This record gives sequence, C-alpha cells and structure tokens, in this order.
Amino acid sequence: MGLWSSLRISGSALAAQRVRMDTIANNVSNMNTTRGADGGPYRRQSVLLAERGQEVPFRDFLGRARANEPGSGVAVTGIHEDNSAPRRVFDPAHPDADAEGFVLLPNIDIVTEMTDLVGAQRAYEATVTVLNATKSLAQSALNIGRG
Amino acid sequence: MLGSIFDTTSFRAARQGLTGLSQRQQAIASNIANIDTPGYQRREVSFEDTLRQEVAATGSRGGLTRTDPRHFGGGGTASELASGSRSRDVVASRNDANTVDVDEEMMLMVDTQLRYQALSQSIGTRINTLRSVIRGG
Amino acid sequence: MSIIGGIGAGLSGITSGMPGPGIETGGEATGAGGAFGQILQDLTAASQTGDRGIQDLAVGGSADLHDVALSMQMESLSFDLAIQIRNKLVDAYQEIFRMQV
Repeated sequence: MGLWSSLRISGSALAAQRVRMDTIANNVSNMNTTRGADGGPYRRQSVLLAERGQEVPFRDFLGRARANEPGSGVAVTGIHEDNSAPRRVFDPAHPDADAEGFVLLPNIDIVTEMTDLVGAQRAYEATVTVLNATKSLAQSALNIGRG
Repeated sequence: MLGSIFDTTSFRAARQGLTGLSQRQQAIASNIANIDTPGYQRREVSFEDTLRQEVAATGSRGGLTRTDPRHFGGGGTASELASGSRSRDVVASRNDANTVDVDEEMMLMVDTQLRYQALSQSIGTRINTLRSVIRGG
Repeated sequence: MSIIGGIGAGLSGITSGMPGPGIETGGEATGAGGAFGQILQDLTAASQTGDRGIQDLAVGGSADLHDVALSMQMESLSFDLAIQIRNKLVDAYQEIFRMQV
C-alpha cells in the first residue's frame, strides 16, 4: 500500500518503457532487412501495454483482493507484429529482387519510429520524476520526530 | 477502548492524512505508468471530504470548530481520511481513449508532495514539543 | 515486552503501597497508583504497536512508513512520560519517608 506500491508501480513502468525502446531500436536497425526470421521481410514490432493485473484472467482473485488499491502498474502483454503488406520497391540490382525486379522491404517509417521513441523516453523520464517524489515522501516519513 | 493521552484528533488526522496522501501518490504513479496504455482510465484517490467530516465531528475535543472568527478554518487545510480509489468519469481527448494528462498528474504530484512534507513536519514538531514538555517538567 | 514487564512489576510494587487522595482498600488501585497503572497500560499498548511496526518492516511487509514512524514516536513519548511520573512518584515516596514524625 502507499509508498511501497508506488515504487513497484514505477518500477514496472521503467521496465515496460525500456522494452518499448528496445523494440523501436530493433525496428530501426531492421529497416532494410529483406530476409527476416521467417524468410520474408522483417515485420515491424510494437509493444502491447496493459494495466498490470488486468492482463491475465485467472489472476482475478488477486485483483479482487486488490480492489481498493489505487493502481498496480503496467505490463507488456506481448509484442505485436505488423502483418500489413510490405513495401514493394523497384530495385532489380538487389539480391532479393523478384522476377519483376521488385524487392519486398519492411513497412517501417523512420519518422514514426522516432516519434514513438520520443514518447517512450518522455514516459520513462516522467516515471523517474514520480520515483524521486516517492523517495522524498519516504524520507519525510522517516524524519518524523527526528531532531 | 481508551486511547492513550497522546491520541488526539490532530494525531489521528495527521496519520490518516498521510495515509491518504501516500495512496494518492500510488494513484499518480499508476497514471504515469499507464500513460501510453490504450483505454486506461485515470485513477484518483479522494479522502479529504471524509476526513473533514470526521475532524468536524470531534470538534469539541480539539477539532476544527471555529470559536473565534480569527481562527483557522477547516476548509482544505486539514488532510482527511483515506477512502479508496475510483476511476474518474472523464471524456478522453486522446485517440487511444486514455484519460491521463501528464501535466495534470505532475501538478497533483507537486501538491501531494508539499502536503505530505508539511503534514509530516507539523506532526513531528508536535511530537518534539511534547517530548520537551515531558522531559523538561 | 520484558522491559515493560520488569518496570511494571517493580513500579506497581511501589505504587500499590502508596496512599492516594482517596481511601485505598485491598488491591484496588486509586489515586496516584491507579492513574499510573493506566499510563502503564497505554505504554504496553504503544509498545506492542511499535513491535508490530518493526516486525512488519523487517519481514518486508507493506506497513506505511509514516505509520511505523508515528507508532515509534508514540512509544517513545509513552516511555518518557511513564519514567518521568515514576521519578516523581519515587521522589514523593522518599520525601514522605524522610518526614520526621
């Protein structure tokens, strides 16, 4: 309850935003990967976020016990792969060009990824601010009656 | 059950106020943590009203009844009883139906922090005063 | 708890023998002895609350920090008060003893 839970919640947020930033970094480094894990072009990945405690149904009994808790954090529930059609670029010189000279490239746009990265960074920093505030509250409590 | 002679209205109000404020911090932490979670509804903790009523009810034993117009009022200056949390019914202005506004949360957090510090310092000063009275007598 | 038990046993020995403002009968605590007994009870309760706070923190429980801090301060104040009163009572007892009859 209270400050201990706040620390755990902020911790979960840092972890989730870290996964999100790693995923974005992965997307950017694979922008031109024509041969992904399944042979086709790399598919853009994005994280699925959900409020912690809401993601697995069988944890419901825990959820009910925590019914009065003002929040329990965030969790990454999975990595979503973008299944939309890849970009077709005319480049007959490319080793992976098909019979008509087209190459299938990942559907990744650098601007989208950068925007997403900024969002993740801001969320990370905001969480650090909250964490520092929680620490200062704890310090105030510990100083009660001292000196 | 008889409380100890130190168990005054102020002491109990301070304890409950600090509890409420720390739960509010938890709600803020949750809101910031879920700032990008689709469909997340902002949480808030409300305890001021309940505590204000309780403090007013014990007015004859040192609560916040005003017997003189120059006294401090009870409106908003006392912290109050923790009463759990609820999601607020607001219309989301973001396309992912998330109702968290980071600026609002930050302002609320500053407010919470200040009140917590003020309350813990005040009750701490009271404790030190009592200690001096007891030992110096 | 053993600290309280020790102090309590020793002190109640002193206070139960002291005449209070009222008439003292048998094992009934009245006057100074009775009031002090109440202080000791409060002290025991405060100390037990302090125990719970310390133990909860030690085992990684979720007790609020401000709650434990306030409980410890309450316990400390209760001890201070009990000891000051004990000292006054002992002083008064000794003064009575010194009276020339």
